[in-house]
Amino acid sequence: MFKTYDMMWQVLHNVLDEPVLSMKMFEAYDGAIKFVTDVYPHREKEVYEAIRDGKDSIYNCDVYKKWCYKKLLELNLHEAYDFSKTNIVSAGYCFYDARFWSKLGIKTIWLYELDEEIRKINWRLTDYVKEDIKILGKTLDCVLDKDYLIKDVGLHINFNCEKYYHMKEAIKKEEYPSDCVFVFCGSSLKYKGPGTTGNGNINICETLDDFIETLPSMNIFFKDTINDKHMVIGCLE
Amino acid sequence: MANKVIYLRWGKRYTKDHVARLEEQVKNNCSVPYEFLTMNHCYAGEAYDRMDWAQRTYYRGKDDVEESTSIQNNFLREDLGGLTHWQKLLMFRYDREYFDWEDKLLYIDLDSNIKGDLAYFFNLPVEKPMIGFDWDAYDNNKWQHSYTTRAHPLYNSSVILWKPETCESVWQEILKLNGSYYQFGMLDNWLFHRFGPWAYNSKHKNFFTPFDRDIISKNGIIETMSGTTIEEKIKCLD
Repeated sequence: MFKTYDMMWQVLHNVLDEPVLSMKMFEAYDGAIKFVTDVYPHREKEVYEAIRDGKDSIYNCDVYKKWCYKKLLELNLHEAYDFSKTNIVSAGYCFYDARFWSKLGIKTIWLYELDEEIRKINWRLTDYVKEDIKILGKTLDCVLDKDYLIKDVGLHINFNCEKYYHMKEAIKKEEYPSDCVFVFCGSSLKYKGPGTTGNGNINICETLDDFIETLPSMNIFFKDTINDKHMVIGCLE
Repeated sequence: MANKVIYLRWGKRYTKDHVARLEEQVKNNCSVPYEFLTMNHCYAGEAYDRMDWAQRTYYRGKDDVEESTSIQNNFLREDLGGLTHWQKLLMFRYDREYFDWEDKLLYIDLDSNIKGDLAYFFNLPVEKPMIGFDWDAYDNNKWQHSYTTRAHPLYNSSVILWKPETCESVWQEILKLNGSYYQFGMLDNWLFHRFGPWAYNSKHKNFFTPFDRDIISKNGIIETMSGTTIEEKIKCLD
């Protein structure tokens, strides 16, 4: 159910480039919102705003997630590497992400969240690609529960390194395939009060170089900063 | 089998008077035999030094780490690391050396008020370690509403009941020093995330059994000052 004309327009705007998926996306959105309203009413506003604006109080990263996906496509890494099995840590709400997963050749994806509710909401939000992509997930801490991450993957993304201890402590070269591509996103976004973005950012890095210092040693294919967000793409060295 | 009431006093906040205050309350409110004691290995030793190092290394606040909150850039932060009150974890490391395996161990924070008979705890079967639980926040979904602004834990380690060696896996878990001290500001948060209903490790999930409603509460057997300000705690203790 679309609550406002504004919302309907926003979703249309985001999916019109994918006519085949559009109707499925509408249905997925509808089912997800009903689920959230019934089961997690305290999340309703947040999910609604995340889909409408691509932002939420925790992640604020739709624009950065698109940056990541588009950069992977632009670099043609999905042609050179096998992304059929992919990990994503802290993806947030993935309503629009799943379209990119298809383009990247992902067949099985594991979504890792600290928050189980987000995982269950994502299960509904990504319903429109379930015929093509197997969506799995675990509610865990990617640093402290690193032993439980799936290691046999071709692509490993962490969208929110700023919410964890240094990734170099959690990602060990010997545990992953040598041709696994890693994407690490972190930020310099400082905390600005309850309910604002930056909440929970415990490991912020002022500069891109500072951020790289927190990562495992890598052969870097791409590194850049947009606004407060850093992104590094590469393989472990 | 013996009943042990354990207190811990570290740092400068609490004095011997606070210990005497708790001891007197226990004496007046326990109808079964017990021993009131502390565990000195929670204040000194190799394991203590290692954890103290981790706290000093990873705490990012400027105020006393015991406050568990700190002002940073004019904002009150609860996520500056440091794992405040980690000293309690050393009880799980050394309990086997202090006690017999059948003993029942009841830890109580010094800033607690005992209002009912502690025999209740020692008469429990203690099949699993038990811990205080924020039933009010749970029943009213308060914790979920505040979860995105602060990782609201439902566990309250002001009162813990267990048998020696049964919390060995808690001790093993904290040996992942760096990430735990970096990511968690308070022990209760760490315990809830690593041993609560959402712990990923199935052996850790629901590791502690919560005490029943109204046992650890304002009108229960023990009233704790968990979640209150330092000023409120001092006022209560005076």
